[in-house]
Amino acid sequence: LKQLHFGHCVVSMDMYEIRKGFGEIKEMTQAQDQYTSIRLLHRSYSLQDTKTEDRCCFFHYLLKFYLANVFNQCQANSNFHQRRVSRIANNFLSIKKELTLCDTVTTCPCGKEAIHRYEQILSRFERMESHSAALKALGELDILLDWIDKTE
Amino acid sequence: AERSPLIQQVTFQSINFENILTWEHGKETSPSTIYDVQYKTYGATWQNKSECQNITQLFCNLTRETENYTERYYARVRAIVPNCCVSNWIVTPRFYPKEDTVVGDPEVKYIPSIRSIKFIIQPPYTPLRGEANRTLTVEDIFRGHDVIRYQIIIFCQKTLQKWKKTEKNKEFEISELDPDTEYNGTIHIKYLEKISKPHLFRVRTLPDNRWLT
Repeated sequence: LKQLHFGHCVVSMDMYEIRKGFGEIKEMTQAQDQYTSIRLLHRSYSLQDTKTEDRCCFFHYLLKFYLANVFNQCQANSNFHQRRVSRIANNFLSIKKELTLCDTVTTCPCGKEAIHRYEQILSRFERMESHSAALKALGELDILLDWIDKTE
Repeated sequence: AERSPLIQQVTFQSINFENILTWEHGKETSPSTIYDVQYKTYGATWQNKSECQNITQLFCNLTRETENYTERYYARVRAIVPNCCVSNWIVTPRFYPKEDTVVGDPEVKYIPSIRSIKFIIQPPYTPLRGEANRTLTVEDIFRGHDVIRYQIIIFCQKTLQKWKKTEKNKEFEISELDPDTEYNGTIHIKYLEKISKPHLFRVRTLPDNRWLT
């Protein structure tokens, strides 16, 4: 389990389970991404390089982004793919619930940097056709997991 | 009838972060066919690999162009049949060196004693350089993620005993062995839920001549 500390709040993530599930759909998902000149989770907006006080809010935004715009958009052409996406989505949902229990108002203050970084990602996402954008974001899940792994 | 593709199986073959783009020609591909290679960082634009334009070989070394092992890359190849036609670009899957490279078999030194064997593992070197231009090993790269382990499986033909041990350090000793006895087995490097190619060994402990003197 990876533990993320935001102030007095501790959120735990089963990174192995999520990476394993994603690993089984990664090649299929990334192969469908035709727009390889676009990268949503750009390294200049990475979570680990975000100011400590803004990290919780940015992380919360990313969780909500994936739950609202990605997982439910990726209607898979196979049960195999759909089950893995659902399992990952449930993982994200429980993480988000844990975070919400942390009284996000005090634990997750949203400073300018968190909002700016999230808006950069969202604007790139919204410039694409929605299904292609959702597929791209799903194919970039390993980038997000790397960010989370590198976040102390 | 539809022609068989001029190019197939365009992929990165990566061992110890030496990243080689390889492909196969189609069944009907003419021997005079030449190939162009391009590469890109994911999220950026395509670039020509200058040394791999109009080439006849079926591979291209892109190690230098993909040396940031935390980045994601693509490469693509097209075939040109002189006085005929040019194929579409055929693209690789997304390539992520840190996860996609295969770790080769380590070199190992053994120092046998009467009742133990000391193993000293030398992890494979990579083409990558660190501070002061030092050549990095795969351990240097994966150590930062605290995921590297050394797994030894040792077998004694005489007693049919078999052990499996996982070590954090690349120097360790296996003790409580029998004198003047041959042991063989394999040593792997384990990293990021993956395992390297095996190093096979065969070592004999020293005879116990102490009672002779």
